[in-house]
Amino acid sequence: MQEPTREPEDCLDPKVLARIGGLELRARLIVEGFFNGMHRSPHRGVSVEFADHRAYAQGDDLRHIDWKVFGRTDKYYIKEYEQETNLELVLVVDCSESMQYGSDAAGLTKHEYATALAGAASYLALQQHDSVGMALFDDAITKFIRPANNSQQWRLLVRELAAGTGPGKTSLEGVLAELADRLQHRALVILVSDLFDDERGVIRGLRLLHHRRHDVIVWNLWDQAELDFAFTGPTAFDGLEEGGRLLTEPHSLRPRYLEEVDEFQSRVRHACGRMQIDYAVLSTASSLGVALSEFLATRSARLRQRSSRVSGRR
Amino acid sequence: MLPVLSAIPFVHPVLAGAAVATGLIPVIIHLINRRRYRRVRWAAMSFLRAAQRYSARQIALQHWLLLATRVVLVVLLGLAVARPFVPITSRVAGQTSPAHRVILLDDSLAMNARDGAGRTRFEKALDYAEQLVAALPAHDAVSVVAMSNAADEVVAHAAMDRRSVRERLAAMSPTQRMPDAVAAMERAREILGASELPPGNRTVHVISSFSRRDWEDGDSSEPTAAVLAARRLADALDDSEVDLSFVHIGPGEVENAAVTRLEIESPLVAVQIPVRIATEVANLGSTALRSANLEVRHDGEVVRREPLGLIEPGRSVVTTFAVGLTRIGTHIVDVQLVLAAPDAFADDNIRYLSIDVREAIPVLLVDGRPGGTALAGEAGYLAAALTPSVRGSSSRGLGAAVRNDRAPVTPVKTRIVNPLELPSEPLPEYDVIAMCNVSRLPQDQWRRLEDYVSRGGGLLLFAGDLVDVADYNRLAYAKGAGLLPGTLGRGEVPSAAESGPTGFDPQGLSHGIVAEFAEHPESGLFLARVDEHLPFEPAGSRGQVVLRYLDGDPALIVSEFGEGRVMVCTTSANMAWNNLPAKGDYVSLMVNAVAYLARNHGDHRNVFVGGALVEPLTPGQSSMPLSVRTSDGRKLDGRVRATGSKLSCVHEPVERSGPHVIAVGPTVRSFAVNLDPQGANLAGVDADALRKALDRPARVITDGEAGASESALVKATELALPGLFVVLLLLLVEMWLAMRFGAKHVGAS
Repeated sequence: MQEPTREPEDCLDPKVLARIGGLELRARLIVEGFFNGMHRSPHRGVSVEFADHRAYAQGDDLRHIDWKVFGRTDKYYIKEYEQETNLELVLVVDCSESMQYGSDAAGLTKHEYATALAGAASYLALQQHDSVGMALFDDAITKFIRPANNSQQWRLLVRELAAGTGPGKTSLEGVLAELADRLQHRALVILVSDLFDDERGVIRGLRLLHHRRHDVIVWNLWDQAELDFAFTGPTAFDGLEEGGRLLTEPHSLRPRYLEEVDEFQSRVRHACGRMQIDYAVLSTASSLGVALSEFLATRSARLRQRSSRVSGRR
Repeated sequence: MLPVLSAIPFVHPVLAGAAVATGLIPVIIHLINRRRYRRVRWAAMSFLRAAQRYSARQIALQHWLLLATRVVLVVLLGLAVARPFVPITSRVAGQTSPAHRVILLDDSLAMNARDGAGRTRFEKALDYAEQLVAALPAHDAVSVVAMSNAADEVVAHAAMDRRSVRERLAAMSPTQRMPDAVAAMERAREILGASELPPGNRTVHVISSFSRRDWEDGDSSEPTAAVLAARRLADALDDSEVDLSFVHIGPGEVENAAVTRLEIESPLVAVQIPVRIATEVANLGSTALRSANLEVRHDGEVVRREPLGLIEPGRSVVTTFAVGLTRIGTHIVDVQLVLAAPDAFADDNIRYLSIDVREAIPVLLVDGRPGGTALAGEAGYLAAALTPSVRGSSSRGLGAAVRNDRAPVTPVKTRIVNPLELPSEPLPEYDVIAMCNVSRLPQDQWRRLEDYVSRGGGLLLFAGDLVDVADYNRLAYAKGAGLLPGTLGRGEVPSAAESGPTGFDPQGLSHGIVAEFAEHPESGLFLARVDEHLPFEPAGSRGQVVLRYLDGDPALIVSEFGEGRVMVCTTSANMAWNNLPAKGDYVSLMVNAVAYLARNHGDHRNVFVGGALVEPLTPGQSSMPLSVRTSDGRKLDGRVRATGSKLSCVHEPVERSGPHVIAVGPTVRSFAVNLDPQGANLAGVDADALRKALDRPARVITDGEAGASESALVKATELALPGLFVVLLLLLVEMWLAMRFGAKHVGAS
């Protein structure tokens, strides 16, 4: 049977992505699909923000002459743009055992979703001349790639992301502390994790990054089944990350379970809010475009803040 | 739970027990479901465990609540089907003191009748009795009497244990006996009279089909014995309207046909002589009987099959047939009615007959004046009459009989002796002894004859000119203690010259010996001339005159003596005083007389259910192995009973119809056990007629009303309907709980 024609924005759908092999291709398609959905091309008018005017000098590109100023002043001024390559993006991706979980409804495991998202974000950032680095972890950082903006960086990132998960248990506090030590410059840190760890330890780790003046985004990744908990009938739950076994009637536990999840998210969101950390709950069943939009919006906001700070210094 | 349930009566107690057991079903399903679960690898265990810790007690409570609801739901549903009820007796009477209740349960023959649905009356009666026992207050005592055998109570004592009473009831089965309502009600009176419970609370429940024979007055206005017994019982109770109830099972007409009679028509039975047998089939139902067949079997083999014509309701058909019996000994002939459609009662469609076939019927003729030729002497004509050797010789005249010596047509074998030879004759070997014009006998010979007759022998006394009347009256009449049932005239012998000849009176011929002549006044018997006879004066009611002369004097007198019979003929056996021997009817008359007098060897082997099988034994036989084989194939040891100097092998009572066998050493005797033909009429008396006959304010509940009464009894106190409402409510609760506790969601892996 002939496969139906795929529109670019379909690639944001996790179920469609699940049928696409190779993280590199998957990440590219996500980005293309993302921009197609926004009716913008990623190859035009990107990477720069207007900073100031200066007098025209010979050799300047005529396309940058501000003709409106010329009309008012009858002098040639050139628009100056501030390059954005100063932004360092560090993707911190959870590779613990709990990220292996993926329900049938979702199509992707949490780890697959996380790697696809991280791949797409890094591709997007590199396209905008950002330096991108990455840390993979379970109970400790298993792989750390320093932020860079060279042509091989993305392939390196993708290769490491595709390495898969380990048997380790999530231990975010130590991981984030180690990361804070390793990062020498301010960076935009995106944590992609299910946060199935000691809640207070997670917050302490995030607080450490915040104190080091890093911008942090937390993408709290959930499988849709973990959010709905729509099981029926007697079920034995075999826990990942040494969670043991629990035989129960899930429909009886569901209300309380959902409350527990909701309270957890609320507490984390509240803690993040106090640290001006963006916290987003992502479902593996939802479009990746949502996360990317948020990423771009946050990135722009951070750059504007930085620009204002730069302009202020001028 | 069980003690609580045992205190509640149920219409169907077995179902109640089953209902309790069904309560295990939800538990079993629950346990099975616990073993059937699916496995899921799960990451968010911390949230799950937190929820589990928080909800564990609540979940367990919900589970138990749901499980308990389902168990109660199933059990209640089963109990509702078993129809619990509050006993009406305790409700109506408000009775607080214990009462003694006697249930008279009819288990007799008529209770075997089946209705259209195939249920017997006994099953209905038993159902009613069981419901009644279940409905009684716990402090009441119960006794149960079977109406077919009141002497052998089912529950004689005042039983308080309902379970044992129900077990005894359940062990009962319908018999083939006739009901003895009188004995049963007398027994009920005795039981209540001996009751130790306080007086006042005594109740009798009579559950029966109330046959018309026992309970309907019929043409006479006199109440039947059963009705009188019921009245006595009612009078013995405080308030018969409350304390005496008649539960009428299966009233009205019942479609039933039956073989009501099967008997030998031939007066004498011996080997090689075909036996004529008569059978009667009666239609005791309300619709005509069509397409029925009669099947005759001899010792188990079908020998004859013939269709019966249309038999109108209430009518019967008599069929006769001949069976050739070629072997000496006892034979069983049975007749079975084969119907196109089964009737209400099948057991009475067959009837059995035991026939004792011997080589000959030995008759001793004592000739008071022996002659030299065949017809000479006093006994010559009699001997010729009893042993005709020409077929059809009985039709007319003895001359032909004497002249022709072809095959014998009667099994009689005669021996003529003179009076002096009598003491040396072994009398018990003869069936009949005829004394023909014997002048006198010594006293010891009369005593011998008395002993012979009292043991079942037959004695025929002929008058004649030699008879010493005074001696006969002194020794044979013996003031009423002897063989003669009256006194002979004192030598006053009327002669034809003095009074003229007379003849036999054709009027009043009802006895079997002469009955066949009653419709033929022109027959030779009434053409015969009697010149002389002896007057005879019967003594009270001892003798029965079966034939008289035209002048009114007795000609033939019969009487019973011990187990035997005596017949006196007041004229001669030869042609000396009359010319009857020259008439063909002399043969019939004498053969009939011998058939009447001859000890019937097979009669005691034809008995009714409830009777006894009795086979006489000689002293030598009593030491032989004795066994009894019943119609249902059981083999029992024979029991010897001594009655005076007589020994016999006895089996009693006989419970089932059919051929039975008593084996005395190598000798086998077949017995025919039949239902009492009176029991074949299954129709019960009408309820109104019963009420009217009772003439007491007793409760009479008919079959239909019994159901209605039962339903009314149950309806007024029925717990099944409220129970079903509770079940419905529980069902809704269960559904709500199931939705509340276990809402169905879209499945997830």
